[in-house]
Amino acid sequence: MVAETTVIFDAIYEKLQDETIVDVDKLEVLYKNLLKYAQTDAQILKLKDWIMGDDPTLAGR
Amino acid sequence: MDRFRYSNATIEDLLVDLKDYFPAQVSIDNWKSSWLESPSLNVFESVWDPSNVSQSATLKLYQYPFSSDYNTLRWHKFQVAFFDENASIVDEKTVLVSPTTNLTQITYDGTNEVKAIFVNYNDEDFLENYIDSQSLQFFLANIDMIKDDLTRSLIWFNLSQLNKQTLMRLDDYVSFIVEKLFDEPQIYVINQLLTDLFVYLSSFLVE
Repeated sequence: MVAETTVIFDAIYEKLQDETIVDVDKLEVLYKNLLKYAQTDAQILKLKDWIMGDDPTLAGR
Repeated sequence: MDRFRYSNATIEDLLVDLKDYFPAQVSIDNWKSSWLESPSLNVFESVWDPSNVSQSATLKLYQYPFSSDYNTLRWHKFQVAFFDENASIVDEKTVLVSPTTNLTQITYDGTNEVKAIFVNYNDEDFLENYIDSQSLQFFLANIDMIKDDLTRSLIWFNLSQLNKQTLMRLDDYVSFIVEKLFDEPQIYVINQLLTDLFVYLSSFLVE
């Protein structure tokens, strides 16, 4: 299960970096599902870095 | 409306009034007993030949009980959509399926070079559709080309059901979701499929 959830987690995380998405409803759906699919410690820490603004890949988002 | 004003209508009242809308060969008693008094549902499988480009190509529709514990076959009336290589619907047929046999055959125009078939187009019936392998491969590759929101949504949910019934390889389904789902314009589809997939992954897979 971890392998599949990781694939989905990474895909949602990457999609949230797409600056062309400006629809807040779509962002909300993606974000809520990202939280759901965060299953491992590494994924949860990645989320923490993102929320705390420490993820360089999301600079300016 | 006047007849039932300030009172309640029964199922029998409803069936009497519906009688005029039933096809002549469908008995109300049979419909009531199979649809209202028998549990479970029916599965449909399609068999057709994409290489048959004649004017009278054959589509075979097999009806099965969903569960061997409840083996009722039922009257069904649904639409079948036929897609060309551009994922445009080139033909639609309305099909009436009898419970007396599990095979219903219809003819369609193969000169349209049909690439996929979708049973219960417009979602007018209650059934489980096991999409045939040729249509499945076509929808996996081209679902984003289907313009009509309802049709595309129905196919998304049908694919999710196939995954739930373990009729698709999980890794194929996950790859498909990653490739196609996030660009789906209907947000409720994205949310529902991600929610369903999480349930499947959590419930059906063992670490």
